[in-house]
Parts: sequence; structure tokens; C-alpha cells
Amino acid sequence: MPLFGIHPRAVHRTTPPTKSIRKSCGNLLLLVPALGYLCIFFFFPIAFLLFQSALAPGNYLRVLQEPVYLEVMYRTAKMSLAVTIVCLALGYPFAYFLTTASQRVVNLAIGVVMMPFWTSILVRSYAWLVLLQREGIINKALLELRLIARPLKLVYNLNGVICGISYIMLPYMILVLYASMRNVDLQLLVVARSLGATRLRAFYKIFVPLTAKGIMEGCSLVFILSFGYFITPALLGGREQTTFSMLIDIQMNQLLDWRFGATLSAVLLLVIMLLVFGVRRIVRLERSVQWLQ
Amino acid sequence: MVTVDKEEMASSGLFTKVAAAAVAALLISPIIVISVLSFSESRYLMFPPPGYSLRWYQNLIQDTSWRHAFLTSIEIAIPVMFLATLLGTAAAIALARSQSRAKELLITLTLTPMIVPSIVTAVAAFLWFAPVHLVETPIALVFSHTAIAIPLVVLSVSASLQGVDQSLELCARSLGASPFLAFRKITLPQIRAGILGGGLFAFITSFDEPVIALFIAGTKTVTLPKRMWDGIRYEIDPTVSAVSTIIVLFTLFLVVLAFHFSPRRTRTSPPASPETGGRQA
Repeated sequence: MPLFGIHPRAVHRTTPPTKSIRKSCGNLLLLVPALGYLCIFFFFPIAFLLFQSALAPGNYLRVLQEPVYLEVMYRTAKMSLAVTIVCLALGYPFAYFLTTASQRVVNLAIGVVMMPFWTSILVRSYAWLVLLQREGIINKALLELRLIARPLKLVYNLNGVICGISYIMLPYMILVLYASMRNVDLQLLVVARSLGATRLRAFYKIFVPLTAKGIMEGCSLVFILSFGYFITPALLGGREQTTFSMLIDIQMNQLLDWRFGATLSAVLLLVIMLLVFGVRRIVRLERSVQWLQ
Repeated sequence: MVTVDKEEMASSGLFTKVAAAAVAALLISPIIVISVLSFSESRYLMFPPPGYSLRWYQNLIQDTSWRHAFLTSIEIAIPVMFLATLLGTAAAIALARSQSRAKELLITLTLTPMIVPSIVTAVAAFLWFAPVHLVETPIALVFSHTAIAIPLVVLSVSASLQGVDQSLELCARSLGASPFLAFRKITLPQIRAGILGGGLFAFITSFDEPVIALFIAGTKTVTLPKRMWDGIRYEIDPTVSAVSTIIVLFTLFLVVLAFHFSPRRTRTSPPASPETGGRQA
């Protein structure tokens, strides 16, 4: 399987061995500027953040002792799980459709997925704010169909947050699922059906198990990205939907307690890293951000 | 014996088609609704609008804070684009050609900024830049945005390096070309598309980045996402829908441009799945 879009062996074969050693050292020099840059402007700042939070170890105790922090953490996890389920339920049929559609339809459908993907997150959150508000299009449609008597409260609550984040995460899910489904040999479904399986049975017994790895990858990615999300829950949620990242914002920008903000950031980072390493046995996350290829 | 038409079996059923159409509608309709609403004459965001006008666009042009924010974002995104493209391209070439055992680790390190929540990146950047008095300056934003844009360039350039036969460059070298000349004349033309695509993605990433801007832009360096955040968070200002429409069109233009440059694949290979980045908020 090509790793990171590069076939290491393909390069190896065409390179004479003696030269390859010299070249490989020379080539790695090209990596120095980027890694050096990331050190100064990404890794060192994060290390500094961890250092700052370690200066006040009492803050870590505070996170564990005051129930609000663990409660919000738990709530954030539940919310991310809900988002993951919504994305899987919507993304799976769509990705399956892509594997069976003609090339032209696929190109168009990928365009439909990429359009929101590359649209600013603020624009997308704002759009849901507009759709879900009291006089919004959804309430209006439901009223006109006489399904409801009074407008529903759809935003500034859990519903708003789940709609908004799912909308933003859906393209990730679709792209990861599609990348894994593309490798499935559809002839297997044909064989299963010619042996008498119904369409549904062939789908559940053959196709779904073969895409299990893609499902795991997509779900892990969506869960982990949702867990650290800030903008959308801040705009579409109510007070009940405060996520862990919003607590960080409150400490940093309202209470101006930077040290405690650093501690909370460190905790969030540790949780994310634990999640990434936790799913590492099953999926390599940094490889699934390369669904891409 | 069951006989089923092969064509029919491999294609998806009615349920799948209906579900896919519904999801496609869901993906695209919020963006369309927002564009239509930007032409509404009402200050309430009713759909369909009671009447059409350009008043929100007019509002946008007259309000200097929006114009300043737009220019600030552009001023930041352009240096980010050049810096990230330069560093990212070099890194992608190094990773593609390296046979080092540490390669796996190096790839992970290069892509880490995509996995770390942007709020953590933002807090870290704030604490990092505060002691050197760079908070609230555009330079701090350029530095931080470049760090999160590098992985995108690496991914885009790596994709285009996939089809490059390195032996051609070695041939040129054996015929007396200097390493730089061999690269410029042989490899560069083949990966130009990936580089241009990566650069545009880096531009968009910086242009749309809200979280870091929120933390280190302060009141002095208001970028467009920061201005929009203020316009959404504290009151629902319909001007935002006009800005949104312009951003959507602008981004669409850049993405179409980026894909135009992006590596093309042959028809027999799996359909081109575009180089996409992990943008977070």
C-alpha cells in the first residue's frame, strides 16, 4: 500500500544503492527548514504551554477536584459521539453510492462534498444559525406543513450544536469512507447475489465487513476532531452545551487566568493524544488524514 | 438458479440513490440559502426573503471595519502562502526520497499540526508570543498560520511526487547537470501543479482561520474571520450573509484554481480524490 502517497520501493528500485545512501542524507537536509520552523512555531510553544501548566501543579488537582471540569469533559465526549454517529449514518450511504456511480457522477458528487469542506467554518456555522433560528427556514416549513403549532427551539441548544458540527465533519467522514470503499472488489457482491443472497444480505455480509477498517478510521477522525472543536459549539450551543474548548476560551479571554487556561489546554491536549494513541493499534490517524491519496 | 443482471447488481439500489441525493442536498443547501439571503431586503433572515435588494452589500462597502478586516486577512495569507509552500515543498521532496528508518516518525511530526486542536495551538501561540510582545501583531499570525499550513502543502506536493520517476533526474545528473539544475529542469515541471495547489490551500487555510486569530489578533489585528465572529456572536448582523457569499465565491474560485493545477490522474486509476486538508476550529 502506498505510504503517504509515496511508494518507497518504487523509488528504491530505480536508485543505485551507493548513491541512494548519499542521496538520502542529502535529501533529509531539505526537511530541516520545515521541521525547524515547526519546532520554533509549533512544538516549542506547545512544550512551553506544558511547562507553564507544570509550574502550577495545583491547577491539575483543581481540574480533577472541581466536578465541573470532568462533567464538561464527559459532556463533550457524549456530544462528539453523537456527531460521529450522525456522520456515519449520513456518510456511509453517500460513500457507498460513490463507489457504484459512474465517473461523471462521482466527480460531481466529490465537488458537492468539497464545496462545503473548503467553505469557511464561520460561514458554515452562520448558515446553520440562520437555518435553525425561530423564524428560520426549517421552522417555517414545519409550521406551514402544520406539523408543529409553534416554532421549535432548534438552536442555542444540543440540537444546534449537533447539526452544526455534523455538517462540518460530514465531508471528512465521506472522504475517509470513500477511500476505503474504493478498494473493495464489487464483484464480490455480484458473486454473493448470484449465489442467492438478497441485495441487502450481500451488502451486510460482504460489503460492510470489508469496510470495517474505513468505518473505524472515519469514526476515530470525526470523534477526535469534534472533541477539540471550538467555533461551532460556541456559536450554536447554549450554556448547557459548553465544551471543554469553550472552558479554555473563558479562562483565557474572559477571566484572563492564563495559567489555568494553559492547564486546561494541556489537559485537552493530553486527552487528544491519548485518543490518538488509543486508536493507534487499529488505525493510524496521521495516515487517515491522507485519505486524500 | 438465480440469474441477475450483472450491471444491475453492481449498481446501487433505489434506497442508496435517494439517501445519497438527500445527503448531497444537505451538503449544498445551507450555502445556497445563505447566498440567497444576502440579497434580502429584510433585516430579519427570513427565507424566502420578502424582497430583494443590495443593501447588505452596500452596508459592507460603507463599513470600513469590514474592508480593513478583509485587507488584513489578505496581508497575512499571502506571506503564509509563500512561506508554507517553500518549507512544505522541500519537506515533501525530502520525505519522498528518504529511505531513512525515521521516515515514519518524521511524517508523523510534519502532520501533527493537523491533529492538535486549534484551540490548543492558539493558546500555545499566545503564551509563546506574549513575552516577546508579538501578540496583536500580524507577524505572529503569519508565523502561526504557516505552521498549520505546512502539512497541507506537504500532502499536496507528495501527491504530485507520486508519479515522478526519480531516475530521470539521476540521468540528468549523470549527464553533468548540477543537482539544482537537474531538479529545476526535470522534477520541478512535473510537480509544479502540486506546488501551486498546495500554495492556494495554504492561502485559504490562513484566510479562513478563526481560532488562532481570535486568541492572538486582539483588537489591533482584526482579520476577516475575527470580524465575522464579532458580527455573529454578539448580534446576528445580516451583513455577515453578504460577506459569507463573497467568501464562498472567492474560496470557490481559489479551489477551482487549485484543482485545475492539482495533479491529474488517468482515467483508469481511481477517481481523483482531491488534496484536502484538516482544517479545524
